[in-house]
Amino acid sequence: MNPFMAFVALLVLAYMGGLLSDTRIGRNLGLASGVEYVMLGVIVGPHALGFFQFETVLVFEPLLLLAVGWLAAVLGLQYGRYGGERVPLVLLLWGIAIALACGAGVFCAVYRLARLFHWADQRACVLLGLGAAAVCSGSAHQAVRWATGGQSEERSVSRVLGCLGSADDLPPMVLVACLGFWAPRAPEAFDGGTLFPLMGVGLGLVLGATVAALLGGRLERSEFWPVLLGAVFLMVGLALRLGVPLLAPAFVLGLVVSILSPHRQVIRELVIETERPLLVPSLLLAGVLVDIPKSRGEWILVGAAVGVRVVVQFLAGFLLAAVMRPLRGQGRHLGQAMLATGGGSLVIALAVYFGQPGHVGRTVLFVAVVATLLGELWGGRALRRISAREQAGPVSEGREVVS
Amino acid sequence: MSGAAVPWWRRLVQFASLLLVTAVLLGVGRIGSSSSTEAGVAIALGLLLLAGVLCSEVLDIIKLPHLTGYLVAGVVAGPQVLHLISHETVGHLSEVNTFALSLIALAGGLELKLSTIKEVLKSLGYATLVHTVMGLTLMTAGFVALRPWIPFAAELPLMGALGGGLLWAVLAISRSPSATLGILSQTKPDGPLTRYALAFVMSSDIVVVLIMAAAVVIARPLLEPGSGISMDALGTLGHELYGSVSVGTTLGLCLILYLKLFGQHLITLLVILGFGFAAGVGYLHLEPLLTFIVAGFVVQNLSHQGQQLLSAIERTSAVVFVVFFATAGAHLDLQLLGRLWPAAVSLAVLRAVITIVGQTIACRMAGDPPVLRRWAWSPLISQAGLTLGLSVVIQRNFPSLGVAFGSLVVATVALNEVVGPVLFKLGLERTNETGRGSGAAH
Repeated sequence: MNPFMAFVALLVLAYMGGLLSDTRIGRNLGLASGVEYVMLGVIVGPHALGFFQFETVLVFEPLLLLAVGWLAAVLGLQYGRYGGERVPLVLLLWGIAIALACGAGVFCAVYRLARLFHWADQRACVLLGLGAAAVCSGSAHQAVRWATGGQSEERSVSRVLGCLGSADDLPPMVLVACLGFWAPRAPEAFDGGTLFPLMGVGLGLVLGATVAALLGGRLERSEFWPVLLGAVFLMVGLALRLGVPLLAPAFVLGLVVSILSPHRQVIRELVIETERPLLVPSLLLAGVLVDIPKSRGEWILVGAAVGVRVVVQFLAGFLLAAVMRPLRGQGRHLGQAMLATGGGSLVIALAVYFGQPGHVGRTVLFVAVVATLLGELWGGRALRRISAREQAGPVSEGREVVS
Repeated sequence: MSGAAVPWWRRLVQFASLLLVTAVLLGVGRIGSSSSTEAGVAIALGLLLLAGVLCSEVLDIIKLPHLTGYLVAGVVAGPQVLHLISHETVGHLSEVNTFALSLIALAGGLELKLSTIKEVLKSLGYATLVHTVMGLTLMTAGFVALRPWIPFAAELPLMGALGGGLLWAVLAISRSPSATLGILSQTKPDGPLTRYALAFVMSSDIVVVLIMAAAVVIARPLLEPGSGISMDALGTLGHELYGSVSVGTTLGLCLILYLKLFGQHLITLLVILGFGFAAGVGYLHLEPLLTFIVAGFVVQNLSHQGQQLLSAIERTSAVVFVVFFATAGAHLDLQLLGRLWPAAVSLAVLRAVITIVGQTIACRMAGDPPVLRRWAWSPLISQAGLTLGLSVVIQRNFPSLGVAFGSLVVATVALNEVVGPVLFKLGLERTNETGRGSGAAH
């Protein structure tokens, strides 16, 4: 398929995805993570039907990078919010702690195994560990909303899960930013010292503050879209030019706007509409890029990353159930439900894929796909079960947990 | 966003932000290692959007239209001044420009209501007649008279100069739908001037395309002695027009059906139309501007869904206009303008005079109200993409005119592109039509 036809097909797909996801049928047929689009990408990609080739997808790299940057900014804008309300501090800290624990566990496992198998040099092993940790450490608050049909505000357990999912986006972004410290730099690149990768985050801060200041006391639609779009595009371009990971700066930009702008709620409502239409074609292209590991060692690495994630999320579920009285006895369900991941992880994987081309990018993308698939099959079911139980029974007293 | 309503500190913040963004870009440009296309395109788009809005806000202080701000941002950031955007990157942005132009044309068609056309039909008829006859005659004569100062025309024999003058005159009677809609989008006006401007500028697009084909037929034996009058150009024109109207009508009907049955996700639909459908129209060698104007016209006048689609386009208009005009600004070749300025200024002034006089005569003949007699010329000065597109057609048909012809067109359009929107905004303000439109409250 030539790039133009592919582009039109992607646009139509994005449209169909957006149209379907709004309907009840779409919700019943579709999956919370959108992993079905990744699978579709695998099917139409070079490994199966061959409609899309790697080269075709690489033509879209600039568009994909812009989409990934925009989605990261949208994540930043939504960070620490669930169902239109601020995530309580205690849940915010829990979410960050669980994600950090998960990330640390995955990093250690992947790094050790990669070194053990002499998979690559030390630097590549660190990059692989960080990338795998970044895609494995988060869970998806969108999955909770999807499973509960947006009714979770009144339901305690699903709301806790939604809040945790919203809080745990920060550690993956930190891990992605850390990639910049270890990533090989071009010989002609500017030597800005060891803290050079933080320059991207600094730019995110500056541009985020600029956007908030420009939007000022009143929000004019005629200014809003050019200013926010312009700032995010500029951020992506600058990150690429400096050779630093682009996700973290874009996330910081969104986060700063969310903190500083008095119009944060309106802005979130406006940008959330763009999420699905952008995510669907990005996921499809991610599916085309998926390269199934050929060696047993790579399979073991992927299995280890996902396995550690499962163990840590279950442990976290039991810990939460032990600490929070209203969640008692629900540890197993919580652990299962927190396995749900989604678009966020796949977007991170795409950014790593383009930022670290080769073995590292390919393996991280595959880890993300497996983690998402597992989360969908296992976590998604648990979420639906929790939601069904909450809707059937009286509202539990657990609302106090988050109030 | 009137200048008076914005507090001084906000202007200060905007100005400081503009300086900050420029400083950041200059700094990163110095230390950044990658010169990849992706980085260049992302930076260019981001910068043009951000700097375009900021410049328009800063220039709003002196009541200049936003379009001028977008153009200035493009010129300053472009390869001619600060070189924050390279020549190569500007070329890569042309696809985004096609997208923007498609949406502008669709919006133009949607703004054309049959009731409005009926209201100004008499004025429209006289104006079309006068501008065509007088514009073509006087502009051709002026071109021949100014021949010694026009680089490529100086060596042409009289008949050749007449041929070149005729082609130049056709370009001179073309207007700018994008600039007209851009100003209307900013000022949200309503009144006789607004309705007349919309009807005339949109319909003149069709007239100019027709006249261009005839002019190519007539100019050929004048410019290329020995060759006869060929009807091939008319055949090509017939195909182009018939195809564009047919495809536009079909698209319009499909849009009506879609709006009635679904009516959702219009932004994604517009992106599909702007990129996918526009490329398809180009592949068929049809006139994209005409196709989208017809589609918009069909939706507006054969259904009740016109306003719904127009609102969706208006939601994207902020981004579309900034990208379109800022990119146009980045395209401007200031060095070329510096070289050709005597000829460009002379021809631009001559065109403006002929337009103003012609419009005044047309208004008197049609018995238009005083407000139109005085200001109806103001939307007719702007020129942009359509004129440049027509000049490409001329250069393709007459390679003997050389690159200099194209360069002079670019230089003249640049002047009209800068001055035209200012004059139209002034006209709308003087006739008190600004802020009277239905969208003004938003």
